[in-house]
Amino acid sequence: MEQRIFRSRIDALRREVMDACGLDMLIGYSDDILAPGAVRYLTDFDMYAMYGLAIVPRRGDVILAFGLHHSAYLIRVKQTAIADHYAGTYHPGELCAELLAELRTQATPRVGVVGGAHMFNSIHADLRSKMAGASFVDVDREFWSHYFASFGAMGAEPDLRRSAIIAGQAVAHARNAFESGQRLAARITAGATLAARRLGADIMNRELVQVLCASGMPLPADLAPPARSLLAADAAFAIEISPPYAGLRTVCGRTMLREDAPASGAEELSRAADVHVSILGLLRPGATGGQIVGEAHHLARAAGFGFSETAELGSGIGLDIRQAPYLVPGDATALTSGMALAVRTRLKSVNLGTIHRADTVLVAEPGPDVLTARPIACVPFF
Amino acid sequence: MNAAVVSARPFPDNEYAARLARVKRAFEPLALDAVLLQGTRNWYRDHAIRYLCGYDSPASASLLFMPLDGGEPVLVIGDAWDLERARGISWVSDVRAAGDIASAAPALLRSRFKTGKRLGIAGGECMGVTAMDVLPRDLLAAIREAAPSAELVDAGGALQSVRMIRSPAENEMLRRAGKLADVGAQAFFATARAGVSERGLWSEIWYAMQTAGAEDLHISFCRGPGSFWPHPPSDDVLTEGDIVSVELSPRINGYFSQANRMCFVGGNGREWTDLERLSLGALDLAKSLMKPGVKAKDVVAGVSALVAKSPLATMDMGGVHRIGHGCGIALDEGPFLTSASQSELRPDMTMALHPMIYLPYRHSLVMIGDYVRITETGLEVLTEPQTAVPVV
Repeated sequence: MEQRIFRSRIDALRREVMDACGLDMLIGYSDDILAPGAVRYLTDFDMYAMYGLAIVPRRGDVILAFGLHHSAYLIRVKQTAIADHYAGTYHPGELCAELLAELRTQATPRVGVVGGAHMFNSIHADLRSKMAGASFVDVDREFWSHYFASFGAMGAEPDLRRSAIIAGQAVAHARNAFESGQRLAARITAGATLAARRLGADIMNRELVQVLCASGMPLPADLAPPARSLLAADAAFAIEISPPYAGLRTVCGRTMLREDAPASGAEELSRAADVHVSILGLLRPGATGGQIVGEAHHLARAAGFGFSETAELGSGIGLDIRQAPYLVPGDATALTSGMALAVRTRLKSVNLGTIHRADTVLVAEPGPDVLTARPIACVPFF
Repeated sequence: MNAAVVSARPFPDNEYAARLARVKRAFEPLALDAVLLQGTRNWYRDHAIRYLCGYDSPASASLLFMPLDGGEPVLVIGDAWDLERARGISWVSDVRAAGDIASAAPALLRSRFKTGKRLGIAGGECMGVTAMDVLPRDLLAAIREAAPSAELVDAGGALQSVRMIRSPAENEMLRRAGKLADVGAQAFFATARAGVSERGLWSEIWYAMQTAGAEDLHISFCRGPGSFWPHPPSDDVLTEGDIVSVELSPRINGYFSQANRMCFVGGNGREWTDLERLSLGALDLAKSLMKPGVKAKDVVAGVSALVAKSPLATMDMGGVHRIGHGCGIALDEGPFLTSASQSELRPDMTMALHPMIYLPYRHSLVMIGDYVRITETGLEVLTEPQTAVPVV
C-alpha cells in the first residue's frame, strides 16, 4: 500500500467513523489469515503473525501490533505492511494506554473495536486492564459501512477485478482438466491453484487460494474440500475457487459435465445458468438480503428447480472470504453501491442433483457488475 | 477449505480410542470433570481436535466437548455445509453445526456440565501461546455465562505431552509425510536457478507435493544477504551469490513433516565449500547425538561447539541456539531443541532437526535439516538426507 493511500484511509476513518462515534481510539483486530478485515484495510498487514492489531488514535501515530515478536518477524512486517510504528507484543494494552494519555482526552476515553468478538481473551483482558478508565464499544457495523461507502474511492476496485479474472481463469483450467479426462479432484485442484498463483494470486508460506468442490451424479448439496478418490466416469463436477489478490478476494464457481453427458443434462445446466444470472440481477442498491433470497426462490421455482429456503445465498466478500452483509432469509441490511458480494446459487435438479454456480458481484447504481462473468478464455501460463 | 484433501477417516477408531485413553490418563492429575477443546485452521491451530477425533476444521472454528466421566463427547462445527463430511471423518457420534461456536457453547455446557467444577481448556495453543490465552473472548464469555462457578484449567500442555509421543499408526503417517517432503526437495533442486522468483519456486514445489498427495503445506525461504530467518516467499528473484535454504513442510491427514534443503546460486569457491561442510557437518553431528535419554540442550551444545570452530558462523541468534523442534500434527511443537530446553528425548518423538547457523558477515543463514524419529536406540531419518549442497 502506498503511503498516500494509507494516510487517506486513516484520515477518512478518523473523520467518518471515529468522529461520528465519538471515539478516542479505534482498534482493528484479527487473528485470521483468511479474514484479516480491518487490520489489512488499515495497514495492509497480511496477518503473518499470530494476531494483528491496527491501533488508530484520534490523532498521532498509527501502530501495528502483532504476535511472533522475534526481530526477524519485525523485518518482514515492516517490509509488507504500513504503519507509523510497529510493535511485536502479546501485551499491546500498555502501548494503547500511552497513546490515550498523549491525547489528553476526556475523563472516560472511548475505544471502538472492530473484529473484537473473537479476539484472544488474553489480548482483550490486557487492553481492558491497561486502559481501565476507558469504555469499549464494538463498531463493526460503522466500520464496514464506511468501508463499503469508500470502496470505489479507495482505488481497490482494480485489485478486486484482478482477483476476479484470476478466479475465472483458475476455474477455466479446472474445466480443461476435467474435460480432458482428469478424474482426481485433488489433481484438478492442484492445477487450478497453480494457475491462480502463476496469474498473481497472493501467497504466503501456505496456500491462500481456497477451493471447494463436489462430484457425483447426482451432485451433492454441499461443496467440500477436494477428495483424493477418483471421480466416477459419469460424474458431474462442481468447483468454487477464491483467490486473493493484493488482499482482496473474489469467488467463482461452476458446475461441469463431461462432453459425452446426456443432452438433457447440458440443457439443465444451461437453464440453471440463466436462473443464476437472473438472481445476480436482483442485487441492487436498497434491496435487502431477505428480499433477494425470497425473489431468488421464486425465480428458481419458476424455472423448475428446487431451492433451499433456509440456506445462505451469498455474503459480502473482499477483505474476508465471508463477511457482512449476508444474503439470508430475513436479513434486513440494505445493499449499497460499492458492496462486493459472493453469490453462491445452489439449484436442485431432478437429474443432476445440486447445480452449483458462484460469482462475485459489485453492487452498482445502473445494475450489478458481475466481476467473474467476463468471457473466460484460458491464458497460457507456461 | 484450502486444498485440504480429507475425505475419509484418517485412522481407525481403535487408534482414536487409544489416544483418548492416554489423554484421559494425562488429565487425571488436573482433576478435571470435562475438557473443552477448540480448533481453528489459522496458523494450523486445529491440532487438538484433529488429534482426538480427526476433524480438520477446514473453514471455521470447531469445538469438542469431552466429558471425563465416561459420557459421550460432542463435536460442534462452524459450517453446516460440512456436517456430513464431519460425521464421516470423526468417530464422534454427536456432531452438531452452529453458525458460531460461541453461541452453541452455553446450551452445551448447561446440559452436559451441570454439576461440573473444573473445566479443562485445550486446543489452539501455538508458538508458545497457551490454550487459555487464545480462547476467543466471545467463547470465554459464553463459558462464564453457562458455568459461572466453573474453574477453568489450561489442559493444553497435558495434551501436548501425550501428543509428542507418536503411535505406530502416526509414525506410519509421518513416514508418508517425509516422502512428500522428498518430492518437494526434488522440485526445489530442479527449479532453483538464477532468475527464478521465490514465488515461482514456492509454487512449483507446492504443486509437486500437492500432486504427490500433500493436502496442505508450509514452505519458507531464507535467501541471500539480509535473510536470517525463514520467511514467506517474496517476488524477488534468485541471483548469483545467493544462499537459498528452503523449509519444506507438507501435510497429509493433518500430519506435517519437515525437511530443509539448501543450494548455492552461481559461484564456486572456498566459501561455498566451507559452508557446505559446516551445514552438513552440523546436521550429521546432531543426528549422532540424538538418542533417548539425552537432554535436548546437550545436543544443542554439541552442535554449537562444532559451529563455534568456524570463523564464518555462530549459533547464537538472540542468545538462543536452535537446532529444531517437535513437528507432527502441529508444525512447531514441543520438544523444542534449543540451548534453553530442559526436554529429554524419548522414543517416538518426531522432530524437524535443522541446526540454524547464522552467518554474521552475510546477515544470513545456512540450514539443512531432516525429519527424524527417536527410536529405542537412536534415530530413524524419515526424509532422504541431502549429501551435498549443489551450485545451481
